[in-house]
Amino acid sequence: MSTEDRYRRLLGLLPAWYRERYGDEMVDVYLAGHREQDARPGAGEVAATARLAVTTRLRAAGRPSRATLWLVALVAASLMAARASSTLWSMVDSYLSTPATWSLGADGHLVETSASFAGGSPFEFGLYDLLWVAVLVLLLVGVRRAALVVALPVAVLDVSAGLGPLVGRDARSLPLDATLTDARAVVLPMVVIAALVLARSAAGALPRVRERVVAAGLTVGAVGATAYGPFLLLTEDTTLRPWSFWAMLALVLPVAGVVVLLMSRWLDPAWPAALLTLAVVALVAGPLPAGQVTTLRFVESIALGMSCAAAAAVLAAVAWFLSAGRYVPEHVGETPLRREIAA
Amino acid sequence: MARRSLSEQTFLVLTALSAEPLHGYGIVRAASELSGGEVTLRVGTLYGALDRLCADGLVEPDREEIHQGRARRYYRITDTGMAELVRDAGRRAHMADVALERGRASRRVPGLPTGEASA
Repeated sequence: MSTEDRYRRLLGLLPAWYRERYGDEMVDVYLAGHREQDARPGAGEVAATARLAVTTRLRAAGRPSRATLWLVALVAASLMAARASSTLWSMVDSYLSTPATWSLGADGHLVETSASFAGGSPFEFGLYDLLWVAVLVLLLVGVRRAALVVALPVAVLDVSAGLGPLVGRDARSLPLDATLTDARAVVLPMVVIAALVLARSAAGALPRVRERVVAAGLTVGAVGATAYGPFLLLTEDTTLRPWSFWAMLALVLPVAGVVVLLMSRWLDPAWPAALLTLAVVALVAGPLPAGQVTTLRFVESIALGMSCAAAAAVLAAVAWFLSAGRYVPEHVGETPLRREIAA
Repeated sequence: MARRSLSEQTFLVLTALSAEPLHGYGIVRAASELSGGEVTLRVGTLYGALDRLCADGLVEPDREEIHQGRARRYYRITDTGMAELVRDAGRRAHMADVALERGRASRRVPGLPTGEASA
């Protein structure tokens, strides 16, 4: 193996765009300083190249592209929309399955008292959350500013509602499916807002419409399948339902983590970044399930969900790091040295 | 916000380019001469610095030439880069002056040139 071949093999550590831009120059400089045959790169050169490979990717990962931020916002909004739809569905389901009882009110009119949400305001049950569906639609259409305008007030309500019971009221007394005591209610809205704000000045183009639809579809599909699938197929044990919505999702996240890791060479960093968002939120939400922790099985399940979420977060972070090498910074020109000579 | 000072390698790269546009190996040689042979830039270190300097607008590609069948890209320092270099050089010179002055005042370093002689 020639000196050039050995050095080019070392340059394989660098991101593809970096090799395209500087590879031939680096080989030229290296050969000018190492004229002997069959020279191996020294430890210092190997260390400098390895450091360059890491810092280049970290720099790229530290400046997420517009596509990355857009997909992160989309995935987080999809979760909020799925959660709001689930809450509404649970309430309707509960209303329809509860026999109606009526009592005579002080004003002489009959008042329905049986349904779990009878007498409560839509705000108390978080029905304003359904606006996340509107945010999701706006993101799918590609309207960032309008999505931000709708998301801001909902996020403020969500964060205040999510934090309120945690610091004040006894969360366990809240209706399980309608509870607002949930890390998702605090973390996800902030993720959406931060990503949408940062996306304004980020470099690059929006993800394509097909990518946006796929990201939202996969997220909502995963939530639906993991939250309700096992109960439809395996058990009618409704006591598992409160934690299942998130912990069950955590079970499938490592699979997605392996997929993005295997595909990191071809994937846009936006995909592992979006998965990382999901995994981190799953990790945060894991120890804070709504409802009472009453059985050992319940506790073990939470631990399993959190372990899966942690594994998925690590896999997604590695995949993001590897795929960040595909991000070409703005200052790098389109034409590498070799092509210019050929022209 | 205080601006970060340049690393020694970055300072040498900018100083090398302040005389004329140079290609990669030219920068390595110039940096070695400037440092009296004490600093030999690794290729990975040089291109890490060049990429950062290009991203920050302190250096930009100048031209390309063919040398022994290989293309060489030359780099030049920008106006912003020259201003940054002068600012950092002034800071380094000030620190060096203070250190020399204290060395002379201490009279503990034999052979240290006096202020008049070095002026």
